[in-house]
Amino acid sequence: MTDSIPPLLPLHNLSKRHHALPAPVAEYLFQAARVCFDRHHVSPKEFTLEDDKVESIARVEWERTDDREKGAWDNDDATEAGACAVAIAAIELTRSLFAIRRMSKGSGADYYLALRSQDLEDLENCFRLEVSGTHSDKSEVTKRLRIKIEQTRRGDSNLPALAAIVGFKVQLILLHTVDESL
Amino acid sequence: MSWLVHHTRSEEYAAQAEQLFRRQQFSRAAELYRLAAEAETNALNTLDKSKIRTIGITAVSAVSLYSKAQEFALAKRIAHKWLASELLPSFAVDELEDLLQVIRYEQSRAKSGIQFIEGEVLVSVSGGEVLYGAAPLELILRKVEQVKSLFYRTTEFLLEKPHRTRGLPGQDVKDQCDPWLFQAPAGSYQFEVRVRRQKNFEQLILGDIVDTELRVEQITKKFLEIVRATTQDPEGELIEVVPQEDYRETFLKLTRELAPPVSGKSFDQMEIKSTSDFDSQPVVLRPDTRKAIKNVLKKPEIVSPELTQHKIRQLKGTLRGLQLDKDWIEVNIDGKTERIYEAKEIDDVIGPMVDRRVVVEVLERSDRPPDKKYSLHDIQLEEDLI
Repeated sequence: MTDSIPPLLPLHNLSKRHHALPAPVAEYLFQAARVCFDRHHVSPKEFTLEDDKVESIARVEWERTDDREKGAWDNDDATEAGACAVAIAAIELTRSLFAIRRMSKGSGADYYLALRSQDLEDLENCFRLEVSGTHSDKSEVTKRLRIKIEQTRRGDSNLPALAAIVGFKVQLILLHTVDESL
Repeated sequence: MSWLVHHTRSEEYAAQAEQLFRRQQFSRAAELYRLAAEAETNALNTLDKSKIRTIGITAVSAVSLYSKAQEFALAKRIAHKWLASELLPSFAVDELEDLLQVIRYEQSRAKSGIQFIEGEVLVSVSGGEVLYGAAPLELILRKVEQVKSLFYRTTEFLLEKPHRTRGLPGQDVKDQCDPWLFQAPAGSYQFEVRVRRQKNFEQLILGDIVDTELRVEQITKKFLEIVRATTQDPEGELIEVVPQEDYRETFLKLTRELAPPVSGKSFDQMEIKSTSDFDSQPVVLRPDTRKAIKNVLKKPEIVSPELTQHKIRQLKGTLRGLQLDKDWIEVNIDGKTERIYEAKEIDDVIGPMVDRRVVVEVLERSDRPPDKKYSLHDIQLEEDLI
């Protein structure tokens, strides 16, 4: 039996495929992800991708950040922005869903996902993406997912939702369908 | 023009505004947020009434963008207009009502004219006995006091002061860190803490500002960084953030005191987050946070061959007296006062426990006279452990 090479997590050129990520935004998010990867790893690295408990492996490749790029980020900002890039790329890989719109809310913003072929004239049939990132161990990653699911179910939900948690240190990406209608 | 065209324009303006906001160019960011809000409002007005979800999401977005642009009157007008329309789905009604509270609060804060250090910390407790917007006074007072202690310690750490083992923070620290309590919008029970900027800050900026003041501008950010590292990665990230062991131990203890009780009876979750950072994830403290931090604090006992008779005991009673200068405390256990030695606890942790029921973990030493056999290992409020 030969070992097959795991698929590449599509972090590069996000702006070409995700309407909600214009080039400067996509670049900004990917740079944050590179800062987070560099904290623990050297490229390339394999990440476990758990999508509704179905496990697979994805290969992650990135260019090492230089001191100037590292210095431009503080920990919290990099973790959150980097997690968005990784989560969006993971959902593209596993579900062929794309970030099509972004909406402001009280604090921060939501990304809305759809199949690329879908008519984008409104948000009636989109999915909402909830993202979180952490540099902690696996138990924190799973705890974070539980919290995200609770938050999303607690009535803040306006569309069928997906929760994504990125564990940079433990090389783990958890995706979970919060709304069963998805 | 369609919803899509207007909304795409709004997205572009909002993305630029966010980047400017991150670079602290607030007035330029506000201008772009206003343009984003106008475009979103135009998008809203083009929608067919049957597109309930899109109307709801876009209405929340428009109000949120006007609020970020500091155009509070416009934000309120649009929120009220759509709340009165009866077209909104329930999630949008809830979100707009929350936003209206936030707007009212932001307006009053803008009127106060008092300047605060960039960044604010929102603390919310929920579960247990806590209601929506209401909580036991004693619980909240205690949490506010603990948050204040953490702010002072963060300031001392930033100012590179030697670790304080006794007493209250000095006046110089209080001059640099003046925490204020703000009313936050209801939701569980929430309060917001900001640090007032020194009155002569502008003069310092205009003059030759010294490194100290620049460091103090980081208090809120550093506070969040420390609490996050303490709860999420105390044996990794916390060592990076707080290299000094004595400070690290203090932050661990103060954060443990902040966490919900093991039973979750009075409250079972605390969230601490920045309200000014985009996408900031809250630091979540749960009942199991106590145990996790205790495991980090627990040091393996070094037992020399002649001290093999030591054993760890748990005593329950009321903390009656402190003599921290002499390193002992007194605990009344069923009417009998026990003195416990080597009480190297910091005042911020043990001070608020006086006259309250405590659980004391002691090392019972067989190599000492009976009246001096106990040395302090750990102390927590009983209500936090049952």
